[in-house]
Amino acid sequence: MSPRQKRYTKHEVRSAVDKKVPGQYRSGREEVYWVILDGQKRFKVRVPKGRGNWGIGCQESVRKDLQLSHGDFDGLVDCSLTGPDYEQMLLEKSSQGLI
Amino acid sequence: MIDWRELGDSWRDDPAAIRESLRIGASEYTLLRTGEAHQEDSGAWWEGSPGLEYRFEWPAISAQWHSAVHMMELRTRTPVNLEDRLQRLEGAVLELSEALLTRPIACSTSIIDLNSSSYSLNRPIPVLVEEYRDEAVATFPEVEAHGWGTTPAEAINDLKAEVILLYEELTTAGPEELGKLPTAWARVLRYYVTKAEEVH
Repeated sequence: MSPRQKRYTKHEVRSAVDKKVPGQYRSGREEVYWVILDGQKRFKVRVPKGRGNWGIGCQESVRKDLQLSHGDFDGLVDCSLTGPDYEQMLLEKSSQGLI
Repeated sequence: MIDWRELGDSWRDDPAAIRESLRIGASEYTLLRTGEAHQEDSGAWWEGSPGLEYRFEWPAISAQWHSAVHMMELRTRTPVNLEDRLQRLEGAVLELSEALLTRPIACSTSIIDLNSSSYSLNRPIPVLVEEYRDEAVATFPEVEAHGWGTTPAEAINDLKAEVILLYEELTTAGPEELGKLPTAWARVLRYYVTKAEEVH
């Protein structure tokens, strides 16, 4: 049985992405954030705008977009996983040819 | 009836004792029969332990044997704590119910039109739809595109818009701008999508 999933607000997740994920929002549709490493778009994350609660399904799709496990996603939003730590994770994935 | 607690550990060395082990729940007991030959009826003995009370019963053992039946909990026993077990059970039921409530109903379908006169599909796009209690997520897994909505139809329509935007973005970007995944996504999108002006 999987452990209980933590729920976050849209604002909490968007704030974590803004602060810790290297990249920029797509122009014209600010829900899509392109993760950029070494000047190249590596993958995208669809992050909802606004505040308030949202469903677990949307939260799960953001977690998958960020290429994170449940634990690392919690860390990214709860602050235990820092921006440089996350970037390092991405660089490792990049060196393995995964992204 | 002799209470073993009054005997201390002396009963352990009694060579005439007949020992049997008894397991109740997670606890193990040693059942000890000692004493002189004596006719005795069956009997019962109540024993308490934290959060639980046991009643041990035994039949008349024989015409030759009986004076006492002693129950001795083994030192290695695992305590039966019903309150603790109940709490763990409640936690497990809570986790299970939340897992069931948050688990989506998933189905696969396909998109055959992008709701746009500017784009057409060369072939249907395979879509995974996950319906949660109060939302739905439609995913085109090969390009990691999602559509969200309160119903599957809303989520699929949202996904169509996302596919068009992604197609535009990836097909107009230079190859040096795109990493490994977006480059593959662009190939996949060209396989499925054609812009209207490209048809002629």
